[in-house]
Amino acid sequence: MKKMVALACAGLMVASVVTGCGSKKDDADKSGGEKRVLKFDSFSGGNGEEVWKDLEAAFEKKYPEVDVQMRFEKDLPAVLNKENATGTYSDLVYYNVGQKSGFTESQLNSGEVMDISDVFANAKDVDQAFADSSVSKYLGDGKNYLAPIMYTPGAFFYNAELIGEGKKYALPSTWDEMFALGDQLKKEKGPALFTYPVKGYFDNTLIGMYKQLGILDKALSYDDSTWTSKEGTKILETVGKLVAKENGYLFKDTVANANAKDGFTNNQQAVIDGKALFMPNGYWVKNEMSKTTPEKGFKWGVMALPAFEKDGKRAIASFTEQAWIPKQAKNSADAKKFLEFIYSEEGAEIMLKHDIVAPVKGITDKIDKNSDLGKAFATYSEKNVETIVGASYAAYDKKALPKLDFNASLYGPIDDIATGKKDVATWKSELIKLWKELKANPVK
Amino acid sequence: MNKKKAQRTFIFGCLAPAVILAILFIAVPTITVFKESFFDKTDLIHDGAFVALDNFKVLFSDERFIESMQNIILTITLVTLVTLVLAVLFATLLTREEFRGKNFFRVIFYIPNILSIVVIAGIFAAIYQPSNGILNSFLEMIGLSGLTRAWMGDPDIVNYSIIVALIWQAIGYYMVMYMASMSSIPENLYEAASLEGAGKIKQFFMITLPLIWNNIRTTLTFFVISTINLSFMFVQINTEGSLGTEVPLNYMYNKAFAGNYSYGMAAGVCIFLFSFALSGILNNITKRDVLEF
Repeated sequence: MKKMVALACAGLMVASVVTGCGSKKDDADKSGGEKRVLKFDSFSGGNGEEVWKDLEAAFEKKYPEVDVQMRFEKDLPAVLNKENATGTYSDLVYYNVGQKSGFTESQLNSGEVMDISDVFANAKDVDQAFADSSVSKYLGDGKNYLAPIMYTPGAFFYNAELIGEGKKYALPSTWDEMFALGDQLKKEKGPALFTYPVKGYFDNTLIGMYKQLGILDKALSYDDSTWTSKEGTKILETVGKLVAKENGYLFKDTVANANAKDGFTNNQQAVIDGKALFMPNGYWVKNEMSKTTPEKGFKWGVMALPAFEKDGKRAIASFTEQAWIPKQAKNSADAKKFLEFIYSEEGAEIMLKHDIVAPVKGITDKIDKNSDLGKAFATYSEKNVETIVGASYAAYDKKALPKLDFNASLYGPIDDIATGKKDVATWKSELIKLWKELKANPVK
Repeated sequence: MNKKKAQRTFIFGCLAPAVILAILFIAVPTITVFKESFFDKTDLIHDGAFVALDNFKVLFSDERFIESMQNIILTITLVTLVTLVLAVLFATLLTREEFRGKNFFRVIFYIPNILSIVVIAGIFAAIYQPSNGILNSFLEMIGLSGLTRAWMGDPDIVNYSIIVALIWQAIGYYMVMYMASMSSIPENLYEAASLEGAGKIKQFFMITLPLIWNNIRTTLTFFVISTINLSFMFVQINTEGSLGTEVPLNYMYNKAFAGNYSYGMAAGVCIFLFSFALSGILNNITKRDVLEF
């Protein structure tokens, strides 16, 4: 008898679990019938969540039948990896390439990112340079996979109250002037010439330098001659000279800060506090450091990379951020609409309210010229300045190169040079080897 | 007979949940890790081809992985040695000696253990900060400015900086473990020893140490496991493995979830075998006759 009761109880429990699941599914189906759900997953980064909430509200107003469900995660790859393994996919993902996790690249390489060329065909306002950029057409087959949704000048940031016309220090326009300024600073025991938040911030510096010296396409496609050439060597020597311990141009705490939790903000703070003059960064730094930036005596300034010779070419590489649609997204149609909305006049204006610039035609005319953002974007149109948008290294076959860690191999030696552990010649020979491996293993 | 059968059913019933959980969450995943390491899967979702031992061949020629194994051996050795000595010392002082504020010290020593490693990383970022960090400021204050260093930025010492943080974190936990077994040693043993003229140090080596030996042996395995785990978390948050601070779990994590899943699993297998073997060796060479009181 007891057994019967126990069995009945167990049966009831199992049944309740099953029906519990079942009813949940019914609910989901029902709400799907009323409103189409657009699952938008974003990493929570320097730009904050406000801009997305405003975009969501405006989009839902325009398309009342769509319910945008936003989610912000600090460790988005971990969350999505888990969900994807159980067959759940987002409809739209905002996660950039070039991150340490390499999540977006992995998804691209394994064919899990949807071809969104039609978005660029429909979005009339999108800046064509971004639509054609190598980051958008990541796999090199002519199709768009990533949507560059915002961009900022990824150049040298400094205190415009301290450096510039009529200020304490003159703004250098060539590397010679830059190093002369560094020597002057050393002589007067002033601030350090340079710092970097963490080594990865050199990404746009290198890309800008490739462009200045005319080897951009070679470098991005892993051409054999990239690092053996005069130009490639010059790039490595210049970066090496800037950071090498014995030269004393680099803020001495840079590497120690870069290697401690949240220490990159200490390096950024060094620029704000006048301990270092220049650093490679993007415009988000203003928002990121706003709490510790004094109102008086500091203003962010942006400078294009110095020229290699007098009146020579200067460059600014744009840092773009990207969104993409998983191939297995249930509601890719609305995800595409959302991207088109970002590229519309309305969407771009909402973003601009948050100091975020979408890659659409004529957007720079709408930025207030006297605002900090306006001044930062004005550097794009300065004399001799060339701009690069959405440049990205060619995709390679990760599977064939399990040992390889692209970021650690390309930028890692910068820390090592700064601590005196490595020299430029070693960095060069490592890069020659790295480029050879990458060239030999293009993505399949 | 019937009673015996009922007893067996009862024991089986009691053990079943634990056994099922252990199989489901420990045995199956471990076997899966071994299995996956023979394929060339890029992630959890896509299938891969069987490649036998290829992943291991590449792994053993990977300088970064070898560096990470060297680092972990250094870390385990130093963390175990220093923590063991200090934890036993503090435990002896706190159980055998009478002084004011004993309980206060117990709490103070244990606090690091209840902090999450993220908080500890934050604390040590503040301690090691080169210009206005606590450590360098203190050294300058007491006139030892010659000893100030970029603790997290000097490749020659950064590994030791990490080790010190791990020791600081571990002492309290092991101290409490040793205290527990020390306090169960009967007082009359010490009384007899002191009547025979044995001093404190002799008492420690003749009574305390032999009687907590089994406990120490158990903790050696904990040292191996927890150092491998915590060094991963500490490195992941701080250096991300740069400046020669790579540790095996961080390496595995970065490979497994960045497009080389099976390769990461191969690293996982190596770490598993390494920690298993090391614990086994430690357990064997510390084997003594168990003394009881």
